[in-house]
Amino acid sequence: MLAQIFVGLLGLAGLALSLYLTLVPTPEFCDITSFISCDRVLSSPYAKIAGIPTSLYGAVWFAAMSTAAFLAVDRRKITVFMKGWTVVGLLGVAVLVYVELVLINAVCILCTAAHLLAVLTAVAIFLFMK
Amino acid sequence: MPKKKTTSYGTYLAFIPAALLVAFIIYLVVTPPSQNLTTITTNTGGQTLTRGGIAPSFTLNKIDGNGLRNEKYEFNPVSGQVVFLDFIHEWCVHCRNMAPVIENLHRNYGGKVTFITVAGGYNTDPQKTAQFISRYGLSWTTLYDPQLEVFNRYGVRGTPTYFIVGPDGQVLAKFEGEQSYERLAQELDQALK
Repeated sequence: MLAQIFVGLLGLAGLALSLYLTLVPTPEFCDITSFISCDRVLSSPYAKIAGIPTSLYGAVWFAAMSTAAFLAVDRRKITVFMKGWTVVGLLGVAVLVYVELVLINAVCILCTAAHLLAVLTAVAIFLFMK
Repeated sequence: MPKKKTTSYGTYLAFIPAALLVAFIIYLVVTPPSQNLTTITTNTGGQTLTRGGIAPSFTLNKIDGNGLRNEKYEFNPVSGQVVFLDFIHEWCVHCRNMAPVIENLHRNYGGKVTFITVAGGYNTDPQKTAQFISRYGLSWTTLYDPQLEVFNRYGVRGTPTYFIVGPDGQVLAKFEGEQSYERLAQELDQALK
């Protein structure tokens, strides 16, 4: 049960961060050099997919994961969905990291924080949820 | 006697992320789209120059692709000509995106409109600004505002910001963030009537 709550809270944190990235202009602390620059990443052509902010897809992923985690407190079958959803999330993280490093040649530290939350969620699910 | 099924707190908690997401999507649909503006810290005291206001005069050093020049440029808003004034930073991605648009505007309106770019010195230096000018081929008057004094006087909150100033010094239009060529051209056509 604690594992489900923990994953749920991770999901909420990721959701809050993704919504922040979608809504708010990049803060100044996020632009450190030309390589570590949230503005460069979030102003790039890759900041939107099919006209929708990329971070909003992340928000949907975190929202679904958080909802599933809380429901999994007493519905064990949902764990199967969560594991599959984790794989989707990890694939998304891999693609976004590739885009940042290879195509944009810049890194957004807030985006990286969201990626780490997704990875941490995956670790928690595969280690602690059966 | 069958046991009454109770809803666990997990089910209640599950509503939170879904509700947050739905509320946010509704908010996105209802509110206007983002301005594509890079915000910066300026000491405007909450004041910002708007349409109808009188553009302040100022004096700044010129800068070009070779660097900061030891030559001052005095901007007098009551110049008798329409002025297109844009505020940028060389590191600002939206400013870079807009560079070809402004170049296009200059090509089509440069004979009738005075173009002036004010490049800010926040988080940068004249050398990097000169590289920007050289890279994007800014062929009109570009000035360097190292301490953002002119930025503050004009109430510039972010870059790029554009002002169209009439021959009498009155601000005819102000735009914040990326704009389409058509939108800016339309305003210049209006100002030139």
